[in-house]
Amino acid sequence: MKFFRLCIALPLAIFLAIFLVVPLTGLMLAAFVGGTSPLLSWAFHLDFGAFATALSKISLTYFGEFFTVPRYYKGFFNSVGVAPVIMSMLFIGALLAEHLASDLAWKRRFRWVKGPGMLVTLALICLMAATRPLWAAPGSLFEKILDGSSVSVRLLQACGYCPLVTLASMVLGVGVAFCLHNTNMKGKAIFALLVIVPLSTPPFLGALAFKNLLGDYGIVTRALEAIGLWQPFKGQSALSAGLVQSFLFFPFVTLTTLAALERFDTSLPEASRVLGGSKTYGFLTATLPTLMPGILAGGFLAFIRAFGDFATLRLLLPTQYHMIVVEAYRDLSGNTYWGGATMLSTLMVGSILILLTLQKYVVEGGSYQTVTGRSGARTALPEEKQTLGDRLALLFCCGVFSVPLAFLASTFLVSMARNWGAEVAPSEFTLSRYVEILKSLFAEDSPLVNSFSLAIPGLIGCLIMAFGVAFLIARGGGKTAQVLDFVTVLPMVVPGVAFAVALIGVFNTPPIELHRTPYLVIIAYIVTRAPYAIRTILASFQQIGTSMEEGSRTMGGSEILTLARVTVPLVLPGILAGAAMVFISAMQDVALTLMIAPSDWYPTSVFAFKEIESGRIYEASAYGIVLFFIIVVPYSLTHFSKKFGAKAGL
Amino acid sequence: MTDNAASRAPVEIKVSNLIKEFGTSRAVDDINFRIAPGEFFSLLGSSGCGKTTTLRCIAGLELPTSGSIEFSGTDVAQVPPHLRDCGMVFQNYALFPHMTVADNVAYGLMARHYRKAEGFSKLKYLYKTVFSLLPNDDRAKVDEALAMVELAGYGERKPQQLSGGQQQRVALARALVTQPKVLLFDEPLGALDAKLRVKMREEIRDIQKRAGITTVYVTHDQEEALAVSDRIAVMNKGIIVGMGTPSEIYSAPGSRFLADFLGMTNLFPVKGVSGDKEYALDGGVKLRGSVDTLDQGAQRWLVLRPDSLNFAASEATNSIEGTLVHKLFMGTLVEYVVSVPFGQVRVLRPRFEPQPEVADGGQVLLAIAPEELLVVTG
Repeated sequence: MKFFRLCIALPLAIFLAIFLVVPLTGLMLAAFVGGTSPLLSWAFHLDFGAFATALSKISLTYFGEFFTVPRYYKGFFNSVGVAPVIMSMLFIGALLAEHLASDLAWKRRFRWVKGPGMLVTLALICLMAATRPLWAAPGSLFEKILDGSSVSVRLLQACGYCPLVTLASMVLGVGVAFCLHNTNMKGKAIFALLVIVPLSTPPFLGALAFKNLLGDYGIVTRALEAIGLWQPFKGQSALSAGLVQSFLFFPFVTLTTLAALERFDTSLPEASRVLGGSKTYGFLTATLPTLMPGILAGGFLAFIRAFGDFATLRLLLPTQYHMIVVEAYRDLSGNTYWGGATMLSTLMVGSILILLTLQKYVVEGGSYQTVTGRSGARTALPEEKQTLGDRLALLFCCGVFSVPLAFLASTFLVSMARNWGAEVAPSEFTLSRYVEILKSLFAEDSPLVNSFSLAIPGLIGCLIMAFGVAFLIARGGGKTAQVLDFVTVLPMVVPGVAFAVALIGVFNTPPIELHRTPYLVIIAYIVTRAPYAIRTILASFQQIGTSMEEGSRTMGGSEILTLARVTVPLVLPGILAGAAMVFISAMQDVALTLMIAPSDWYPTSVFAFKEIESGRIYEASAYGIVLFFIIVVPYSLTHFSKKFGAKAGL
Repeated sequence: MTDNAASRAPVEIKVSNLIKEFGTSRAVDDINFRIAPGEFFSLLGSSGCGKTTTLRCIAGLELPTSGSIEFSGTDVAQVPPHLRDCGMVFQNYALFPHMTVADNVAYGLMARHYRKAEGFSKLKYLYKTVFSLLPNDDRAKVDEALAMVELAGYGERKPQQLSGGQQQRVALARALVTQPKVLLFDEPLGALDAKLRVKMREEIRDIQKRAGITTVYVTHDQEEALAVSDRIAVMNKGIIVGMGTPSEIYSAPGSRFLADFLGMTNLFPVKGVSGDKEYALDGGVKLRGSVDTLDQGAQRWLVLRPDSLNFAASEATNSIEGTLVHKLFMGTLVEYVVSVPFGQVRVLRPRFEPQPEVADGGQVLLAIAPEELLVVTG
């Protein structure tokens, strides 16, 4: 058995070391030595001298640039906000202090910092931001970071763009989840299905649609102008980007919250009621806190998407509005400045890791799993007449889903319009762009063909790696499993731009020169997308337990036979679900691919993004719609297979 | 705490014509009972008999379709649960997993502060609950309640760090700390192992007696109900089929259903009755009883309780000839299965009694005293 596991573990370890551990280590080293650190090249030439020199040059001075170059520090604080940074530092400090404190009274004090102290900090910083001109000395750091001219802009800078988008996604996502789970509103099945729409919308399509609808020359904008009203949004603003991202990323929260609601023990709110709590009190003190881990897990997913979603931010933010992911990209395109790119990427990785740890602490350290005893779950709402709550829920869901649907519909209209000038609706329609796409399938460098040529080998690689890793985690156990679990989840949370910077740093020089080759794209897809499949396959492994494999072994089956005839078929649902997630995510990717793919290998997503940048919105819209339908099919399949699986008792 | 509870007069519960329907099915079908102040009252029945629905109606978690529930003369049937002043222990304990043991126990106190507060101070108590900031006198009450269930010093732990029995005690402390008018238990011991179940039911009984709170206890375990209750109501298909003290119920179950439910396995149809209370069974066996006040028209059944059958040395009143099928050693008791002319009977005898020197398949003589013979209708 040991030898068998080694056969799986060894190739995996080598692959992960070269394509995950080395690039990320190299990235961080480069950020601290102010330049590049081609670790593989040094290792290949046994150039210990260069390595030693690099180590001796390690210093924080290169991070000093962070505070002197405005677009760096503004990019960082605009993205994550001043208050969240300070709050996380306080939280971590209080956490450590609480662990060190021996006496209960002190522990309680630090607990206060972790709880209400967070709210106080947030309120204080918001107040400071709002009143900044009254107290900040000219030229001070506070003056530089909170440089907004109006109170609202300064509040945005204090709270941070990504935290606010996350909050908005959480409000929308939790709202939809409650409507779907706790009401009798009409059309529940339809809305449950429509959750797929925002998930399948490539983020650049959202940005494009927003421009088409509400941009400076957008359909709605012109319609409003025609009847003598004003433009509701500035075409390029943080508000526009935030709206697009919130309405595309809320389903992450909906899905995790729904999962939490299904596991939810309904006797908890009942206990609250009987013990004297009113409905509101019970909801706020018993129901919401127990659902919090699920909501936070979804919020975390929304945050990493908002943080790393280079395409939307690049297309919808004004150029003078700095965001860390866009600035990192800028340092690598045009006038390449390697020091800035690695420093910003390291900061991004660091912030996400801190957030991941905090989220894990809240979810696991708080140990929220239900207490023993038999479940008192009583589901099945009685079929009654539509109450006011049901009607409001319907209204809310219609409102929320109308936005991504409008994105889709308007993009479709644009892709069909022969020409859409000043009129409110196009007068002539054409299929020419779709015909062009069809024709391009047979031409060279077709983006659609590229998409499949990159995504399918990536998918196969992902599944092989994911199965191996999940097998080792589920059946290996111990420390190795924990390390593997952590290492393989990393690339899922690292923003695409940062991972691209890490890959370029290692693979743009010999011995393995892969930068701007399709091979590196495929490898990057494997490393960054495998975590999705690992999660789903691991869940299947944990569900089936070990007894069936042991059964096969006791009846004389060899390891290989057991794997092929028992294990793989049993975890097949997990493999299929994972495959769909990997494929969808690879097809949607813009940032990573844009930075490492050769231009004749641009897949549909990157090609469409480039088309939007160069103003060819009709073609881009058509590609966006085609990509949407390519993505929506596997999504629907997993959706239905889940339902089918539930019925089959899987 | 017991002093305070004593100063508060215990509540009488009166349930009249209670009906609860879910859609078209009737879970509780017109039941009536009265629970005396301070009484420990059990609702006993198999799953789906309506006992839990009745309890949930008393708690306010279900609104009755019709009927009234009175607490000392006040109808509370339509009052929302948080204003009824009950304490309840749930089947799965329903401890809040995100709170410490102390916060769990303090929950009812904080909820009452919140309810009584007005305007801005409502927010204050909400905030105190969410961030686990107990007022000092509440902390004292919590410590007292935890001490009562022998969990002093466990306040800072999370419920998940406790064993099943300890979680059960936390749930009990949480229900008691507010000194509720009524204490409700919904199969509280279902998740514990057999040994702990016996220990916990004794503790529940003890604490209830000390606190003197009127209690409704739901269970499907007849042994548990017999052991803890002052009075028992046995339910079947939404109606009450028998009610009385444990000894009344056990010694005179009255109906075949009740006898069967209480684990009296040897039930045989009566073929005929002669004037001197002699009951004819299949196979020509006649057994003499002592009293018979049952309705003459109904089908009667004889109950030969396994522990009231014994082995006789020679023919006497009510002796039955049979063949030993097998015997099982069960610890303190020995079980014999004997084939008799009217079927098979189980006999339970203490281990220390002399055993019949017969191998499986041998002849034995059983006897039952006339006053032990039970007649039920069904």
